[in-house]
Amino acid sequence: MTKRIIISIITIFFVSACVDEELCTGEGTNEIKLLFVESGTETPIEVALDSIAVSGRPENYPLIADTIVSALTLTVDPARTLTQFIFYAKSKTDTVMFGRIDTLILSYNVTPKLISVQCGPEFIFSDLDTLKFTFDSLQIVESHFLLEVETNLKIYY
Amino acid sequence: MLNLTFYSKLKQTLRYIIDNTRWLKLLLIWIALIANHSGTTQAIISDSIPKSKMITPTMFMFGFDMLGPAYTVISEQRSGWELEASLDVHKYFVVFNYGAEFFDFQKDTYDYTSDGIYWRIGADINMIPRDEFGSLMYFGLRYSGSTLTEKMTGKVFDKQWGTTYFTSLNGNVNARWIEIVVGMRAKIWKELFVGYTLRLKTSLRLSGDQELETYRIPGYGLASESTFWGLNYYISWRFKFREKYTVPQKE
Repeated sequence: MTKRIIISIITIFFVSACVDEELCTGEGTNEIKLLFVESGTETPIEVALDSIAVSGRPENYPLIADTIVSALTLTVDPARTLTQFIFYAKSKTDTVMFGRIDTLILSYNVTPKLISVQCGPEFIFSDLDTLKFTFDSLQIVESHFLLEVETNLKIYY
Repeated sequence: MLNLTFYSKLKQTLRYIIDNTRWLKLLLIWIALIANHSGTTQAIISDSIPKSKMITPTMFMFGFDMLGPAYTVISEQRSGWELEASLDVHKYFVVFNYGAEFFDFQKDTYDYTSDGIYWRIGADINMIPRDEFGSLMYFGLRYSGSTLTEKMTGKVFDKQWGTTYFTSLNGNVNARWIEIVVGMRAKIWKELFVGYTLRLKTSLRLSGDQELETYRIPGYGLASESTFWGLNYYISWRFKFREKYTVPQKE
């Protein structure tokens, strides 16, 4: 009898310990991954960006400033269901291209979700689409917002 | 065509349950144990009623779940109630449950409420139909549903975009699921019975507009879980219409 009581107490202790150590890693991410490829081919190219601005916000996108990239990760605005990015490029590495400005408007759904009582809410982003873009062409490779996705959008530049 | 689709879905569901759950072994052991008990009981009690009369109901049981009110008293986050009615047909019981649950989680970053009703309809097989006290040991199936509303207000911080405040409402979400149940009722005084029902809930389907991802479903549990355990502890009163079986006098 005493043995059973002790086992029960130990079980309750461990179960409650597991509850306390709940990991608050949700499944939601607002990241999208872009890949710049050369128009007419599928070859990735490097693009020299002065900055990326977001419409409705005075400051340039703080993560992107004066950098050369072929792949890029951006995050969409969780407070809205569309985000407008303005790309200011000053040159490409192989062919000179000064002062190019492109616009990309993305639409998506934002659904609040309670991860758990302890962890609180997060946003689930889904159904990525484009409303407008000024690049040569664009392909949606993956419309789901997933951390493990390599490329969401392929931009023909 | 319709039947084929139904049986195909039923087959898929059963296959999923068998493949993905460990509880089946436990259930089979439980059934084996009570079947053994039932066989022993039947062996010593003779049946003096014609089989044609066995299908006429002999009793109606009405009870309520004691855990719902207990949660209401001890928890600030959860409240609810549930009623159960059952009618016997030979060794089977037609069972109907109706209840309501309310959840309210208030934290620093959010306030979530879920409010709704739920119902279950199904049948049990009583494994000890000739028990001299009328006690029950059973297993069965339920088809269950819930209609709920949810609301969450809160804020989410993003390192890039700062804090986003939101209010989301699910006005009318419908949930359907299947339950496999085991349980018992023991007679404790006159026609008063107490006992539990253990439920394995599975095959959850949600419909209706979901502005907010459904979190807590009354009668089911967490919407994110494809299977969910549940326990009810009922106190019931039996209304007997007539004696079901004659218990022979010991010589």
